[in-house]
Amino acid sequence: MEFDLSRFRETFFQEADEHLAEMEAGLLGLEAKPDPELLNGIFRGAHSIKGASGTFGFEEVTRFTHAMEGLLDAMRAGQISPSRTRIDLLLASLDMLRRLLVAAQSDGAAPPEAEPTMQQLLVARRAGEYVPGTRARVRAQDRQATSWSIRFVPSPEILRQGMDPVLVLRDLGRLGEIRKVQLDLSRLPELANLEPDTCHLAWTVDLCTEASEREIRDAFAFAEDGAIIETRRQSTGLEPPATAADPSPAPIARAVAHSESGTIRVGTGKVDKLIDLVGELVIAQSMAAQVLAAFQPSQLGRLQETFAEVERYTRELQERLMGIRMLPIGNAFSRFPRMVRDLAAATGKQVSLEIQGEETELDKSVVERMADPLTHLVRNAVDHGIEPPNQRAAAGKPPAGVVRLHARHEAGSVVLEISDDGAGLDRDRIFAKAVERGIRMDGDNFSDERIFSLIFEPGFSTAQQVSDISGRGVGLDVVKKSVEALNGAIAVFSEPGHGATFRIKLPLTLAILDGLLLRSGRQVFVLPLISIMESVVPRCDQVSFVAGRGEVIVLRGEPLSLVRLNRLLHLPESGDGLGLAVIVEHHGKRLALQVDELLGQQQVVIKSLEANFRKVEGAIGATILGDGQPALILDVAALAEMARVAVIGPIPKGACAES
Amino acid sequence: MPRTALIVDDSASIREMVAFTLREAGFAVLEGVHGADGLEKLGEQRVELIITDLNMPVMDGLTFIRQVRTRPANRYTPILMLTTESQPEKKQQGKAAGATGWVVKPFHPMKLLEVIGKVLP
Amino acid sequence: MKSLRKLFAWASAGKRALRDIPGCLAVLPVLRAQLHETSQQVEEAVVGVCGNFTGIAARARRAVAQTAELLGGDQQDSDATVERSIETSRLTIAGLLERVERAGQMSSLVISSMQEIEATAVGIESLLSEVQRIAFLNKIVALNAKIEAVHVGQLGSGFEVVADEISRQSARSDELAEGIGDRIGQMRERVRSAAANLRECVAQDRAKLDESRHNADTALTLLWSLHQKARECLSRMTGENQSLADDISSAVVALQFQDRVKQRVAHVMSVLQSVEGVLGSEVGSEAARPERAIPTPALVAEMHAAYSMEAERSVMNRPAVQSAPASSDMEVELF
Repeated sequence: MEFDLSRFRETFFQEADEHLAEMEAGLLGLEAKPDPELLNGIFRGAHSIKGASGTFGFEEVTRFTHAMEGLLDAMRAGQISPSRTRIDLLLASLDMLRRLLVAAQSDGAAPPEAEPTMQQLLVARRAGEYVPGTRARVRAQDRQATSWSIRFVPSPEILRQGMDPVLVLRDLGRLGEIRKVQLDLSRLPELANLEPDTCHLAWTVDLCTEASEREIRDAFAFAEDGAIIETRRQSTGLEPPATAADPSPAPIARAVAHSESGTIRVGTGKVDKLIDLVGELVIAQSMAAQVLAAFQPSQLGRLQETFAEVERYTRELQERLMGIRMLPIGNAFSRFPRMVRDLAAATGKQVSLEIQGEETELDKSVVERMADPLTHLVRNAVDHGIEPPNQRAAAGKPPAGVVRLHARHEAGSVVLEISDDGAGLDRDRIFAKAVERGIRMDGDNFSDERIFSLIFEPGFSTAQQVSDISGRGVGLDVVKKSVEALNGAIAVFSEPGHGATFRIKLPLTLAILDGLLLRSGRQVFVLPLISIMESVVPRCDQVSFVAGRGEVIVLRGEPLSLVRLNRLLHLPESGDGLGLAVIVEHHGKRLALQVDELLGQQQVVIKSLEANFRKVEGAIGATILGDGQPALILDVAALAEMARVAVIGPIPKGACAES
Repeated sequence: MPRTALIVDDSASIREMVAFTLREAGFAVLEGVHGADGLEKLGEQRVELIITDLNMPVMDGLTFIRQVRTRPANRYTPILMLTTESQPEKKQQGKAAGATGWVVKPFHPMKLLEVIGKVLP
Repeated sequence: MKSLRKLFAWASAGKRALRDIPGCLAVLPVLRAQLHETSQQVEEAVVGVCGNFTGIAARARRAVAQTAELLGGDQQDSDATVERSIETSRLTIAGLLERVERAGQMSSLVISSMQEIEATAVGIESLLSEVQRIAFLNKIVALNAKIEAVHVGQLGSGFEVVADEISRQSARSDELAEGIGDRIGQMRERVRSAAANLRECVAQDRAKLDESRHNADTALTLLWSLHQKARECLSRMTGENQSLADDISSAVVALQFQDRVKQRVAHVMSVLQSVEGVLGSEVGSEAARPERAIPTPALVAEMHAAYSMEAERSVMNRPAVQSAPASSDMEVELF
């Protein structure tokens, strides 16, 4: 009876993840306040996973959840109290269960620590207390594996006695792990003298086994007569004891979770709204068609109105369809309470986590891709931001630090803030580190903003040692890149002694961009609105030429690099004079982009250049304008970089002529 | 195809018990009441296993073993002797006659199967 | 004289005893036969018990096989068959997933349609503004024409030029309007098909989705509980079978006592035979040969009194008794 259940495996693993998340939340809640309903919920979670995993034949998962179930059942029946140590054990078991599920999903072997953990659950079930450190004890009880070197020269008669010496080797192999077998052919005579039923062979076997010497000898029971058997114990080849369990879920698990899942679960409410909307749209459509059919120029106004309506509905439909992919960011926040708790305990600090705005919705893949950067920032906040309790007390702060996660919508973007009330960024230390690392600093105005934004440079860390907890190769530069890859921006604000805030701004959707259309020469470009500060009409006297830096425009006392777009992109000169300067922001730095004309604000649909053409330096994508012409969407960061690198030529004559 | 074994013993109850154990392990069992009978039952066919008592009338175990070893079909067939602990010389004689191993009487069926496992692939 | 009398008495007693010997001798074969028969009976009993073991083991195996069959084979038409449940749930789940997949595909199709519509709409907007501009121009031109006409009076030429201009503009207007019309048509088509797709997919499937989910839940729950029960049953049986095997093994070891008994009995029988031989040669005469001798009545009476079983007596009554088949070179092994 073969049933191919493989197609439903994905669903099982997704649901198991959801159950695990609920169970973890339940356990954390249980710590705060014992509640029978929570216990029931947690028990049900374990029960569901057990049931489903049995159907799919994931034996180890079933056994493990069964053990968890036993303890939970005893707890909810009131036989055992949910003490802190037991909750610790259950949380540790959840981690183990996650690893078991990962192993099951990738058809790998179950982690060896699963068995002892399960034993602890069973012991705890019998109303024992879980004592940390039993884990180590259990392992020490394991029989010691020893390496043996065994030399076996069977009696030449052995074959004639009906015994096959290879069976002895087979039996040795059943005792442990044969590392090496060496065949000794030295007794083999010439072919002419060879008697086929005389045994001329001998073997030396390297065996790693927990069995005793007597058990090894037993394997030779019928092969002893007339044989040479030598067993020699090698230096005890103990496997290095397994490293202590990671404080965080294994990186593998995270990798699996990170790959975007293929299915989307849609709330039926959203679907209903969609259907309504499509209905409205169709009605508006037919009305517009009617008007058009009897078109008179005098009817133009009416036509416009109708189209506006159609436009409106279409846009709303689009947004709602996009919204199907929207997930509340609370999903990405869910693991933080546990993580902060564990981290605080590991670093000896007291930290409480406040979360606001978990219902804020983001595109699904944005939520997924922000998970790791957010994790790093939260870790940072606990590890480097919040001071140890005594230090806080000395500074007159409450001993428990606060890390705040705040998500909200703001004018077409989503803003995520990770803030802490710790010691804040040390401006001087950052500056010193920058100097030490030889990081170039343009200009001489070192505002706090610019200094602080240095921490996003690659390889930058002012921590005395990169601690194990947050220094795992996910630097702040990677966080920044991740955010910018999503068309977002990240900035850091800090007040010494009062803490730091990381603010991430992300567009609501991936594929739609609010852009500003502009013209440089004959070409139309789109600039992401999110990066635009303002636009000015520069006067000749505001523009100067600074050696080593190129053209500069002074705005409210601050010098900004003036970048002529047409020159930067090697486009023909338009000769329109100074045109307009659009002030864009990047990296805390500002740039003035000189263009010929602003054509208006528009929502554009981002089309990928890489997918359709090839990567174009300076553009994050392209879009199709209303007249069918394509327009490049400018990448402000890339432009700034290109400008920095470009050879700035002498100021062309007549550039300042008033048009 | 089930494996075939031959049990030779003059005691019907011993034969029955050995045969029972072997059948439970999936063997088809031939029986002989003494050495000569065993040789006759064997004929020219090859069996996977032979178990024989040592003290039998007409033809004893050692003679039987020596005879089996002259037959091409069963020259290298594993042969187990049913012996008692108190006579190590018997084991030596048996080996010299060509026996592969032995089972101690009274035998525990599980132990018998274990010993068989040692000599059969 | 006294010693002589004693000697004579002793000799007479000896002679009497000697006279008794043939009688005793005659009994010995009977004793041997009884021992032999006892040995045989015990052996048969043991063989019988062993035969029972085979039956017990076979029955236990059959029970396990039946339970295993329940887990895997097809049974009666009862709906509760595990296999049926699995099949139902498999189909249901397959259907469920297919719908979800299709819904997903539909959504992305709709999304890309919507995007194209958006682009179209944007194009229309710019067209509209063009139209607006032209309409405005129209008005200006017409106004100019009117003013001109008033100033110039009936002079035709200027007016004609203006009129041309207006009609050209109007033609352009119409062109544009047609362009708009086309685009609208396109958009209408796209939206309509998108709406139709979406509606069809979602509405039709919503009810099916719920039904499917319900079916799947019921089927899987049932499956799980059946599977669970069967598993428990099987493991219980396997456990019991293991105990059974252990019990039988112990019995087999114990029953091998029979072998010991047989050996001992054979020893005794052989000793008896030697005694027979010795006594027979002592007595010497033909009359003393065991086959011909008549058992001493006294002894016989004693044996009758001692033996209670019919079988024993019948052995006794057999006239000629075979001696136990004992090979001359038999070695007796005593545990």
